[in-house]
Amino acid sequence: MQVLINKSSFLGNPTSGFDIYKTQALSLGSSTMIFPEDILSDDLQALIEKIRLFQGLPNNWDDYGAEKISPVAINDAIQFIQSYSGKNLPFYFAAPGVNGEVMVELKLGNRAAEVFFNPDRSTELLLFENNNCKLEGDLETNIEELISFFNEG
Amino acid sequence: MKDKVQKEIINSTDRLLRRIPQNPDFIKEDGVLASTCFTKKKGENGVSVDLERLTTHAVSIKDKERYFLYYIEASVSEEQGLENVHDPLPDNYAHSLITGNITRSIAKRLAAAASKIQVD
Repeated sequence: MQVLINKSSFLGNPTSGFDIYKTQALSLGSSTMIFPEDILSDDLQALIEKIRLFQGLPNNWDDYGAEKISPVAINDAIQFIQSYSGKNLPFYFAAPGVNGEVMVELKLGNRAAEVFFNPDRSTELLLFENNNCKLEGDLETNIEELISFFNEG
Repeated sequence: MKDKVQKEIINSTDRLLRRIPQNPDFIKEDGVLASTCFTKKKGENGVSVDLERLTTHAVSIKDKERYFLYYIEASVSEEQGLENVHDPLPDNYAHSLITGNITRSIAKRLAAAASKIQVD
């Protein structure tokens, strides 16, 4: 099966943590697709557009001293959504963080996940069940856990 | 000699106010705030809030066209092992800090416990 690649996806240092899990996405076999934005659902496109607009936030956007949102973090968050849109993940919400990061939230029933894309290209992943944190780590190491968390029978 | 500013003791029943930007949207479909609303900024001593009884909603919200005003009970942060500290500023006597190890999951709990205040 052909893998569709958004050409703008492959940016940055290929040895960075984020690029490691992009490589994993491609290596998951014929069931993995990376979708250009124009064939994503309306909801996902709207979520991506919301994240893009974080670029326009100035320093001190919350009046408590929040930093501008890192373009790297924005790009990494968008690429994550594009890369995993075909893995039946319940993308739900996105918000900027006060340290320039982007948070992407997934939610299905009593299960939720928060993924943080930081300006230094590190990631954080938290899995919640009934509002209790079940796992805390980085996205690269725990991507399979994230996928199975929302795809268990 | 400089006059020392009197600091208040924050009680468990006190309410702590926090401004939330209207744009971008931090309010999820279920009405709960995103956890990033209560994340501590690097280099800061805590999450900034206003002690409600030392201010007014109109002052705390600053601009009701740009912000919403939310509150949490001081007991909520205390239950997470955090400390609420009155930290008056020259231009804001009500300024306070939620201090301690505010992890991502604790920030999520604080956000989940926040309630909106209608400011007319």
